[in-house]
Amino acid sequence: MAAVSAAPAAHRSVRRRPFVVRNARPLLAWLLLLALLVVYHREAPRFGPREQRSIANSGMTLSIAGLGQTLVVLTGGIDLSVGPMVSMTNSLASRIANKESPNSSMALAAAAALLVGAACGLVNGLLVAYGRLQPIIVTLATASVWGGIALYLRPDPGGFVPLSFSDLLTGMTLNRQLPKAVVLLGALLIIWLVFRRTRLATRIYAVGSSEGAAYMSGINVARTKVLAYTFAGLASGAAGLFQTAQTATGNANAGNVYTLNSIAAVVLGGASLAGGAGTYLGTIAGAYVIALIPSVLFFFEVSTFYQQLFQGSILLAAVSLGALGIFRIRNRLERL
Amino acid sequence: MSLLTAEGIGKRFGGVVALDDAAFACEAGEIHALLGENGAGKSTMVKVLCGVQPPDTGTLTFRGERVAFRNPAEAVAAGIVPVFQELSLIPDLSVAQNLFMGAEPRILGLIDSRRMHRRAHQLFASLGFAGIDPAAAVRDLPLAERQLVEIAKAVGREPEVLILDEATSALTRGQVEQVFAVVRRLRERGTAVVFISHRMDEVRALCDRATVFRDGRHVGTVTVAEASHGELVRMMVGRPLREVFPPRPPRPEIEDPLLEVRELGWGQTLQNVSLTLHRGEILGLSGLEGQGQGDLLFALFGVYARVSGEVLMRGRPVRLGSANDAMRVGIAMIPEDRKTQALILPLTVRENVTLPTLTTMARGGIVSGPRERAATTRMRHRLAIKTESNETPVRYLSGGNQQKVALAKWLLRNADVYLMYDPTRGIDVGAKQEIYALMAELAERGFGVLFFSTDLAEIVGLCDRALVMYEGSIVRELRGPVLTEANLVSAAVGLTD
Amino acid sequence: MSRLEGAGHRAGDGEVADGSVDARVRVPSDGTPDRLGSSTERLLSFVRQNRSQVIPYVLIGLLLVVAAVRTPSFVTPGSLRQQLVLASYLAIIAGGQTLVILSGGIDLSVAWNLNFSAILMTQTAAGSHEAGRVTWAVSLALLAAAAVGFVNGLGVAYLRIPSLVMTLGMNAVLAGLTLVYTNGSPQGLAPPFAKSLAVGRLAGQVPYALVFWLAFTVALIFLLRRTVFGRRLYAVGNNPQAAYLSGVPVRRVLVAAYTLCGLCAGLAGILLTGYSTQSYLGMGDRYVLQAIAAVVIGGTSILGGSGGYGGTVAGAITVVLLDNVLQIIGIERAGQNILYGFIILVMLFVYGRSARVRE
Repeated sequence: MAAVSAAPAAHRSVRRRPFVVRNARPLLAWLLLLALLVVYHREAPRFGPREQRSIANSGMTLSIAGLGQTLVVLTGGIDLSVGPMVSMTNSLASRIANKESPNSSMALAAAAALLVGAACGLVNGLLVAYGRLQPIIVTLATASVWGGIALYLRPDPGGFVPLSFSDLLTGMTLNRQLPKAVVLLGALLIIWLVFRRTRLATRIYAVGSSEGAAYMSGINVARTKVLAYTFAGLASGAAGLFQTAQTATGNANAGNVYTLNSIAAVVLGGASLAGGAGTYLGTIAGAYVIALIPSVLFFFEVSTFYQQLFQGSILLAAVSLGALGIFRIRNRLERL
Repeated sequence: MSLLTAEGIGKRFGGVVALDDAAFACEAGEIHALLGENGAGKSTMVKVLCGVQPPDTGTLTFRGERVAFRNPAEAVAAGIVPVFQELSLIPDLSVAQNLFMGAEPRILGLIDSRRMHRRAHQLFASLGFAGIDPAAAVRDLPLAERQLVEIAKAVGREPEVLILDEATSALTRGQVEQVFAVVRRLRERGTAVVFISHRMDEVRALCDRATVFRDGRHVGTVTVAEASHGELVRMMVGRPLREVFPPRPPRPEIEDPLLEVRELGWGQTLQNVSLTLHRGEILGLSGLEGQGQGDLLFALFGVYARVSGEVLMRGRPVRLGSANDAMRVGIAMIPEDRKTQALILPLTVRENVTLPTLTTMARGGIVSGPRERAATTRMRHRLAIKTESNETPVRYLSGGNQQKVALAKWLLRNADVYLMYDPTRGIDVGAKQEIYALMAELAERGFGVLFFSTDLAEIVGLCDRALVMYEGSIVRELRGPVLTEANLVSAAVGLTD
Repeated sequence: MSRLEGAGHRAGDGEVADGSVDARVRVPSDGTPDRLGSSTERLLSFVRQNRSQVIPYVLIGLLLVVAAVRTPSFVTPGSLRQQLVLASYLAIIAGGQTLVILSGGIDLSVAWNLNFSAILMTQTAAGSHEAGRVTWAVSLALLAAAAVGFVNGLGVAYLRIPSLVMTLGMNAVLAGLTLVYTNGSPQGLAPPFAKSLAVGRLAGQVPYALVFWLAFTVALIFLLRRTVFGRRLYAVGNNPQAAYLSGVPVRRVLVAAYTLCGLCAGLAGILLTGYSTQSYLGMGDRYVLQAIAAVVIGGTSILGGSGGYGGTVAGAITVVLLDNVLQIIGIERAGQNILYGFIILVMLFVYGRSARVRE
């Protein structure tokens, strides 16, 4: 008979963690956003449809770009070319649109921007997945390429963007009561909630959570990564279009801030940079927190020079907070 | 005609032969055990069967047809489903998501979570695995429940061949019984089950036939009910090639404790481990692999945080807050993984050998080239390291010479206690002899060696005393005449004579 | 890296079965290199084994030829000397970046770290000629730059924040800090000593900038090859676990690497201020990508642990020459950026990639 037997471990069944615990970090981001909105509401001289529209528009480009960055971060990668892709598609759209046939040329511009964005993302994905190169350096290099193309397309800021296009995305609807950006935001949420229930979404989480286990579970790891980067490119293209509508002009540099800001939004929204955990719902809150900081600072008559300082500090605070778990690791080799 | 047949399978990893003309066959409706010592080739065979490792030579026949799986997905699609000891579950996804990965129930192309959870409940109920919440994240489950989920995931694919590779290692008795009931039901339905376990009593209770592997080859296939325990052990340990061991050092006249460990614990992995290593002693650590031996060595080398219990060096309690702390009190370690932990492969012999002693060879932070070269050359000659020069990257050395470089690092430091994890694994016979001689010499000079080996002959040949570990505890101490391979095997698989 | 080996799997000890692991040096199993007959073959073998040293110099040669054909005046001693002075600034930034990349990380905060320390110096010195004041200003600037690197190092080593995110966040903080500190318009001119470092010449021939660079190069190569720190840095960059198990204080080594990188950025900030006679906002922006390009072209692996400053020096010269040659042949900023991206990607493929996830 057995001389040693495993002591029957006293065990109780593990339940799913409560909603608040599972989503602590995205909820924190929403609380922060709520706090900022309350402050804005209290300090702003007026809080009518105009102001609401301005708020909704301010975080929109970042929210769209953040969707792409979220997908890439969920696979365990990172996309440093998000900003230049926004710049490039913005430049491209402003280049194609013309006064002669504003509507049809703008439609063409929009299609081209989305297509080119997706193509750039595809290139990133192929280099990362099949080239087996580090996402950081690949996207840093392609960021330079996309930025160069943007400059080539639009050496100086300018270009024509039809007013109708600006109004289409950034105007008001429902009797001038509801900002269209709010409708767009709703659309983004629905896209995410639908996407979350596709097999591709499950695969993206799986690859980011454990590449080896994903492979053992029969997932095509490389193809999943390529798709994630391609969607990130598509989202960047869409962000470039919104930027075009919002600024009504083309600028080869204006989109570049979205690299840092999209990473900040994702981190603030609670996604793990190691991959596999996070939700776009958090990223949206993160995006609007970042977008609202300048306005709130403005009300307190803080110089706009503080803007970047605050954004950077918030990013560092968020990653540091997320990193504290390291002190629970009991194997020192895993802390290296 | 067997359901699944593997013939003439060969598989090498670099210079190491894992499988050599190995064969295996199982029938529909049987539970077939795969037995063998650590490193006999069981796991590699399983990986060949289920498409994780393509074999270098040989053929697989499944349902009368030649098959060659390029990846696990193809094998699963064909009906060969493995459950591995290392888990293939995605930690951040829910239990249900893992169970139905790639085969999720959908409506309008979208995953139908409600139906997925309901089916997960049904699956668990049909298997008798109660109390696992399909919505819980796998990360939050204890190891035993994760193993149950892994088994449920495989069974849910309705396999024709189910491979359980140490899939019950973390389960309690009750859970094991549940799994056995499931496996027996599968047998009735005509499924072939390949079962690998280090618990001999489980093999006896469950399996119809057993195939024994040794040194990467098929030794024999027997009917479990007709084979005696002694027969199985003999098939597993009998070896064609006997190493010659140096004469054991005489037992020291006065037992002078060098390293004392008292009630060491680390999480669930190490429990209440106490031992004493004396000056001039080679103390063996044995047992099946993965019973906490490597963790014990890591804990003693300061790698693990929050270790309970007490460690004394030369009678004085020591604090092991880092590997550096351990080195400072005179402990050295040859870790398990030579290529990722013991050595830095792209660096040269010199750079590797002097890494732990750099500060002693430097003045004001500047390393003295002549001293470094002299020390490296001295070690090269002393250990007969075969390398073109001191400046050859260790990547290009053979396994045996790499291991000598790993030893040289610590000899230069004049450590008192040498912790070694399977130091002769995968190296050639000649280098093995040299390492044995070196260990004997260390003991003779009054140092202490605490070493784990998967090779039982080494423990018996080199040690006067050996400790057998099982599930994180020391369960037996064998010394003198009762320190035999058969007794080590019996103690390791949890049997007493 | 993900390990798919079973715990009880002896064969896993063997080499990962992957043809792409290392094709750089072919050494047969007995450890002796191939005996090669003809001298051409020997040359080819040398090139293959030392391609990270050879490739940048080949690139430099090609660029000079292109420049000579298009604009012969480009290839005069005076003009080349000027190119080298420009390269020296980039090379000092890239030197710090080399340390961080060798450790297995990346530092994207050099842009504003450089800028901040430059402005800190000019504002503190405030155009003064007084030696004491200038010394104080320079020390303060260098100290600030090193402190920024130190904080980066703490975040990366102790909190395990990915270096990319840590330094990107730090870059934003520094940009904001600089704006707040200067109120948007930096004051003060470069102190005379900084200017003379940029335009002055030793014995009327060799620019002081080059003399300084030479000293810097010698010091950095010495640091990497001969000091305990340098040796530990390679160990950590290659394999932090094995380094830890050999007693290397891994986290302290990382902090030191980032601190030195910050210091190099500060140094470059002061030198660049001298070159342009003043500090201004955004002066560091273009150097981040250029410095990384210089390191990558110089053959230092982005995965850490292999490479050195010798390659980076050649890489920096290549980048500066490329910049100017592109201008000569009329390719503007846009084309330059596109080319940089391509060159980095091509170099990544040339110098080797990470191993395939085990299949």
